[in-house]
Amino acid sequence: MKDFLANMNLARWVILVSLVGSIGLGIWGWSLHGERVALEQSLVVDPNLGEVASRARNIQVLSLRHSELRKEYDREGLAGQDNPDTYFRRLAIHKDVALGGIEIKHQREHSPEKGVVDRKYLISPDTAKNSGRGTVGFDRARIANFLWLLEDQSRRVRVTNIRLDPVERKDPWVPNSDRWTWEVEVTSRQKAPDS
Amino acid sequence: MAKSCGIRIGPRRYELVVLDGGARKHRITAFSTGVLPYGGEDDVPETVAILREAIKAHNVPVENTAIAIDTGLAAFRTLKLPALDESKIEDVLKFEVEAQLPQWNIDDVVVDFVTLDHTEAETSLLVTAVPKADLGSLLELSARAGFEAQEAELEATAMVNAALSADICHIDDAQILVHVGELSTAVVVMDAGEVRAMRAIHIGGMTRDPAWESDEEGEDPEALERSVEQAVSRIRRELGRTLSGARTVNPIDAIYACGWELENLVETSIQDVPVYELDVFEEDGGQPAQGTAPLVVAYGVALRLLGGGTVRAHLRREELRYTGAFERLELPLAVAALMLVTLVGVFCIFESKQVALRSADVQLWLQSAINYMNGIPKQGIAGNLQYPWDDLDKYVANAASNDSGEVLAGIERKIRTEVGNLDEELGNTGKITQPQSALEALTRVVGVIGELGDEIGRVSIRKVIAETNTGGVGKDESVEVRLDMSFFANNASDATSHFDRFRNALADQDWTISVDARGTSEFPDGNGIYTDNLSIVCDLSKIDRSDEEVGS
Repeated sequence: MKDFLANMNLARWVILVSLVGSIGLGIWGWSLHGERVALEQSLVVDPNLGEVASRARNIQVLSLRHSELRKEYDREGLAGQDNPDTYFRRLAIHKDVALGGIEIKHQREHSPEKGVVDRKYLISPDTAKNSGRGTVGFDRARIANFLWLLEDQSRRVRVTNIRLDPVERKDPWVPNSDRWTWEVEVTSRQKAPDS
Repeated sequence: MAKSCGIRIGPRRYELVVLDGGARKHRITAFSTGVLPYGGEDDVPETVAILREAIKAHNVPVENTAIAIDTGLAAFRTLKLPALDESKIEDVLKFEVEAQLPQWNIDDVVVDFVTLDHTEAETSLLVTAVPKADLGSLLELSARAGFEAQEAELEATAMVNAALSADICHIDDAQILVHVGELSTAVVVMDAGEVRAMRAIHIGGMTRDPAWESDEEGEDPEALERSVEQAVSRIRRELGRTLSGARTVNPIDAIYACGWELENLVETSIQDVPVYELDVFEEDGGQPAQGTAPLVVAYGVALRLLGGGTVRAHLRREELRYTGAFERLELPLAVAALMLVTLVGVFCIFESKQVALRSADVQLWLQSAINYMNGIPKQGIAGNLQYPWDDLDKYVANAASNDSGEVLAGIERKIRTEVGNLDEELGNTGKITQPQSALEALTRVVGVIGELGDEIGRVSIRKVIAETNTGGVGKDESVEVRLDMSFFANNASDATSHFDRFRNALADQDWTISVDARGTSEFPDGNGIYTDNLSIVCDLSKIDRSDEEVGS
């Protein structure tokens, strides 16, 4: 080391310091260049090419999707362990349904496979509230609308049992009045809470 | 393994030795001796040609070569200085020795030194002075011959290094080393392995040179022989004076001679001190079997280049200092290096400015994305994300302190995760398949009636039961639709035909597993039939839904 320092002169110091500095600056400059090129590529306005534009667009698309899903989530009222009665009752009084009050009985849960649970709800006209309609029954189209809305308004609900009986029990060769009593079972298949 | 070459360039002859190896272990790979022209009007071109030819013929490593010059060119002085380190000695040496060299202008000589003794009080130096003109002409000669000598030293110091490496000089004895040159003889007094004195005798052994003899046509051989005898006699006399005047701690036990092989010198004695040939070569070290004495100095020079020897003579000083290829280039290189570092610095500044500008662009994108996402509540402008959550709000609030690109990616990732969670909650992921719909099965069964239309006449459904069987172990999921139906027609036969057609149409459906009728009964008036509990088992998973509209 002593010999090395003894042999150094101004020119050699300049060369040494400049080369070391050049190497350091070169490494830094190269990383800056790479960063700059990457930024310029990401800033291409075409969302298919530019990462930044693509992310900005994705954020808006995903935001809209989130808003939509969140509305659906709130509308169903079926989230988690929440009581879905509100969902059923709201559809029952829909203007195209108008079935009036309904009675909802929560059935025993059933597990068709590990980690999955079927929550079943037995829905029928509310006997007390529909006492006056017990003899006249319900219009077939309204019942059908109710059943269709049950499945249409939520992806997590299926009508799994339907029973329609005519109000008037007539002989088979006598056309009936197309007024019905009804009872349906709705199933919501969900991930088991403990899975 | 390193290679080095030592060349002694004398007034009449040269010797060349190439070593390969290290300071301790090495081998002579080439050697050469030859005659140089002398006495002509301009001998330089011929001398250059001879040396160039020798260099080429023996594959000399020209980048690691040094020379030894005639000791007779030098003057020796002893100098005592206060105790100083080497760099200080270098500074004052010329000034101190100037008075002892009245024959030369001090600026016209290079001055080197060997430390003879060193105490706390003073330093004793053996100073050697060589005229720059003589040394410069030899260095120029070597450069023209195709090699740049890294160092130049006297024959005397090269001989000392060779002798020390051969372990001839010990701590408890003293010797006199003698190199007989063409025109001068170098004498070095060694005591306890260190140099004690050095002098030059201005008579050599050139009369033994056959070439010289052949040039002196017509000269009397007897006269030549007498001349040689006189030279030997004078050298012996001078050595005797040296022996008498030498002040050594240990008694001088031998004289070792190398260079010209003079008769009546080696294998004799002077004042009862035996004279031996200085043999510094290892056994089977690549040296010739005979006539090794002339190679000792060249060997010592080459050995020093490999790191051997202890006397670091240094005659290439001041304007004669060695400037190799790098030294000649270092100034332009320094300028180029400065330009390089400036260029790279400018490049870095430019790139950092560009990065700052592009980063600002990304920041604009980020701000715009946040604005569209959150809207501007104060102005009543709703954002695309109508239900933000705390974690996202905090992340966005801290966006300014982070890299904009990463924040964009982070926001996207958080929303995507939340959307995924909602999709899963809402059953959109397909991970959990909902049970088959009894409503769909009933609708499809009734739809068959609609498709058949008049083909099955008038039909009345009197009771409906549709039930999903959620399956179980080894049992597929299915839906069973049970209907009480009446078929009205003109007669029972037609009604039965209509019923069969309906049943067959059901059986033809892809999603139908089975159609099971318990039998039919005829109306009392014979205008139709009826059946109860007509069972249609459906498997809706068999329906090809690829044609169905998404979301329908």
